[in-house]
Amino acid sequence: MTNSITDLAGSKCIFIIGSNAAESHPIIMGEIYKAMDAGGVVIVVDPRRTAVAENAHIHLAIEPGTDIPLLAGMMRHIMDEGLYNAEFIEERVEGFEEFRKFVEGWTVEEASRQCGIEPSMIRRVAEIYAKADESAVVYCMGITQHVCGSDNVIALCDLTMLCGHVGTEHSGLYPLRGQNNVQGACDMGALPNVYPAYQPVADPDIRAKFEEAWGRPLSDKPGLTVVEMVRSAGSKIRGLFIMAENPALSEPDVNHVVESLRKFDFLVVQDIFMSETARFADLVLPGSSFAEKDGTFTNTERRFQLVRKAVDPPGSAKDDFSILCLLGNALGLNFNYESPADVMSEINRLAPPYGGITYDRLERQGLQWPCPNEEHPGTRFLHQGRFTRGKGLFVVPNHVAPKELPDEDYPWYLSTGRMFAHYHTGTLTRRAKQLDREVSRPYGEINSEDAAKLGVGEGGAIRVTSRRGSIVVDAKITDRVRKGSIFIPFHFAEARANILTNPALDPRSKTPEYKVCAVRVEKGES
Amino acid sequence: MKTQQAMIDQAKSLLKKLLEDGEATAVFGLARGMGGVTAPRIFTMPDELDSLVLEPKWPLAKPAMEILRTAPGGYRLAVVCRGCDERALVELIKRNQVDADALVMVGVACSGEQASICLCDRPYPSKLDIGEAAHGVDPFDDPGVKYLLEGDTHTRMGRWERVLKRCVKCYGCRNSCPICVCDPCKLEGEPWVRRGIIPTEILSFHLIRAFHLADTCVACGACQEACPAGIPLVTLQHAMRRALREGFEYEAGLDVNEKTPVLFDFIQAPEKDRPIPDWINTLRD
Amino acid sequence: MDCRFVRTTCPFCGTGCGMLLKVVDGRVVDTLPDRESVVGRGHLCIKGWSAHEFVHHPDRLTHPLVKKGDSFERISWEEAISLAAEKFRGIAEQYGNDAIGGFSSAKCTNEENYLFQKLIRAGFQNNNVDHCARL
Ligand code: SF4
Ligand code: SF4
Ligand code: SF4
Ligand code: SF4
Repeated sequence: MTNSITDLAGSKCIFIIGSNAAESHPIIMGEIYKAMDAGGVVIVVDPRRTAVAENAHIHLAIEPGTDIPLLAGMMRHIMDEGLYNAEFIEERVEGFEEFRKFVEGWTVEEASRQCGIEPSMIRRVAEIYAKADESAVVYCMGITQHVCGSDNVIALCDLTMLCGHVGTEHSGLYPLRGQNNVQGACDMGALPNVYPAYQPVADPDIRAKFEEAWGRPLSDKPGLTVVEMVRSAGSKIRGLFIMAENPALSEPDVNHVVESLRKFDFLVVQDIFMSETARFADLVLPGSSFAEKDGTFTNTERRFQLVRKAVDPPGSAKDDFSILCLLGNALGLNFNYESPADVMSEINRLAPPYGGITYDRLERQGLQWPCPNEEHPGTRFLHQGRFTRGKGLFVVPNHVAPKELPDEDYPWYLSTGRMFAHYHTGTLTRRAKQLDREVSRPYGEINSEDAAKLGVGEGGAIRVTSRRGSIVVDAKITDRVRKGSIFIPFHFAEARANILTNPALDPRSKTPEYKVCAVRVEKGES
Repeated sequence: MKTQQAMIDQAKSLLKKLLEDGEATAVFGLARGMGGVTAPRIFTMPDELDSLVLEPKWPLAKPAMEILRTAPGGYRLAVVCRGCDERALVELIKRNQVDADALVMVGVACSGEQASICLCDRPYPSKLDIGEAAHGVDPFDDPGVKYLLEGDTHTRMGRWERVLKRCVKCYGCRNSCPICVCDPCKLEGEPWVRRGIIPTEILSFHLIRAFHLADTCVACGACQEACPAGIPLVTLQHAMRRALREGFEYEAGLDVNEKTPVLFDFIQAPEKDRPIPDWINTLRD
Repeated sequence: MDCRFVRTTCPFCGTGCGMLLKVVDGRVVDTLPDRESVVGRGHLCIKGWSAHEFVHHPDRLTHPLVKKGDSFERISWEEAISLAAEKFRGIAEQYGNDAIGGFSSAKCTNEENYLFQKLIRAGFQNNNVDHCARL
């Protein structure tokens, strides 16, 4: 995120789109409440009436997958009324003319027709966002998990630049990260096209630096993504090493994923439980939980924080650092690190934005990158005075409707997501008594009118079928979801929501469209 | 007025002596560790006490009780107690949750500043070993408290609903409360609380919690401090504590031998003129 | 009785709240919010409060396992590591370096992620490294 979590409390307007922070990021929600108590206005855009929406000043229940039409309508009104920040744009952003043409191609009425929100409401929200002294945008998977997820993000960036709501303490963009160290995994180069700190593998100078440091020739060709590797199982990819991930539950169209996992010549899975994925492995390596190792996680506000070893791993399990060192040495790579801190000093040398991040300095409260040297205090908010790339750039977003919309055979919308008591694929949280007590069975949320039509009561079985598969879940009746829609959390192995989801990918980010697909819902056999 | 450093020195020597004389197996307090960060710590060797500090406020009564629960026989724990820690431990002794003989309470006074942060009317323990008692504050003078307790029923309910609806069901209020010890906890499921949804039911979740603790709450503020949604949970308790004080001349946490009127008076001697407290209208005098 | 409080970072969502693990005689028995942490500042959500609960779960994997037919058998670490190295090297020799890939993890530490991508990149001269972070 551009700013820090606690900066949200000072925002005068918080525009939350595609995030149910009250359930998936409750502590950040606390900062949003603080902003409300200080007089800030909170606007929520979500097809469901989520817990965040219930507590907001304004809730816009848009049609699924129509974020860009809504944003375009808002920007059109902002332009028409002259509410944009001309000075900011003049000084700091390029590409305005092209962008203006795009916005002028929309009308508030057309936006309204597509997203289902009254034109007057679109205008009102646009005015609140544009006119507030400092407005922040908070978003999550509801924005990114669409075929046009990257374009959704682009449209949000355009909105912030248009109004100059970036580069100050309480404005900015807040993407909320789902998993504890998604930020860190990306920062450390667990991506097919970049080394640590987003240094491109295709850049010859960068590559030369890493070749020298690592003493090995390196490839300049970007690698394959998770989805691509799964698709090339047994053909292009023969041997796969999976460290603590569970694609058999987390990827879309998991039936297909499971078939692929069987096709690798050799699959190694390192994990702490026998996950759905580990069952398909040829070799399973027992790793360590967060309580059994030293290291760092980087949170969604770019803050490196220490993780400390509290106990030893069980049995002969080893911490993941040691396993990687053993394997690296067995492959002749000289992984003779003494400790994770030793790895951090190598990171300091090779990844300039993390140059000043040392364990000693992290003790007190961590450090937010960029932090290039030992004297640098870390960076609370980005783009102050100038953008990282120099000038900001308006990009024209391209709206693409969801790849699979309800039709005669599959007349319902399905969206998947999180609920407050569980996390990710449930491998960890479903083994926690307290959390299992809250929710121990897979469920789908449906509207009370739909429930009556189907003839199911609370907790009754419903069968949900898409073109890819079928699962049975308990009905949870709530008017948070609209008629003709069902919401299913994806944490449950026994009824994997991702059997249903559509593997259509956002071509840029390769994120699957978890938020919209078409299903049929019937009363289940219980 | 003693300086903070003088208080720490006094605490260190007092606690060291307890360890050296075998009066206590261990000391439970706060320590300043790596990077100057404070965290609770169990000190077993006198030397370790060099890292002892008294600030910031960190409610210790509940963790102290939990340590004693798993401690072997003969274990004696000296606990550095603020006023509210002491009062909470007194309540726990009353309810047989803590063995008084296994506990050595070392009382520390809070600053006036701390008292105004906590809205505490008694910022010191009854057995004060370290520091001088500061003046307390009357929570009912606080504008925030007044706002939530004033007005007619409808207005008040509206205000409470707005804040209680923010609950994210973290159970932090229950987990942090030193005297929340029921097992099983009524807030964990049917029939009172629907599992798996947020926000929690206002009447059954929040009011059960408040009423369950009505006569034991020592106003330590731990519940409110743990609440990520910023719900002013202690305000509800202030109102009930006041009603108990006015109707029954009772205050929790002051005396191990004084039984709670809610448990005893109602059942044993529904004394003629004692009104059932009108919890909500406590401000209307 | 040995009882310690260890400061650490929540393993669940990307907020990264500070927490204390209570360790008694080598077992993590409880989680408390870290009131000194700038993230969370003494608050945790329901997941954070139960972060200790899965740590000593009886289902934890305790030994390296190799697939034999339809079931798994225990093997030693030495065997496991050389098997992995041999197999990966064999595949790379037969089908080329590009036939090896790896999924790193958004749950693992930065240091582990760094080593993982270095292992794939330096070990097999390709960039087939990614993680399941889009969820
Ligand atoms: S509630 Fe009172 S005794 Fe407790 S810390 Fe606050 S001021 Fe001190
Ligand atoms: S103030 Fe809150 S935490 Fe403290 S005793 Fe009362 S109810 Fe429990
Ligand atoms: S601490 Fe606050 S948010 Fe958590 S359960 Fe209690 S009232 Fe709800
Ligand atoms: S305590 Fe909750 S909000 Fe905080 S990091 Fe953990 S899962 Fe996220």
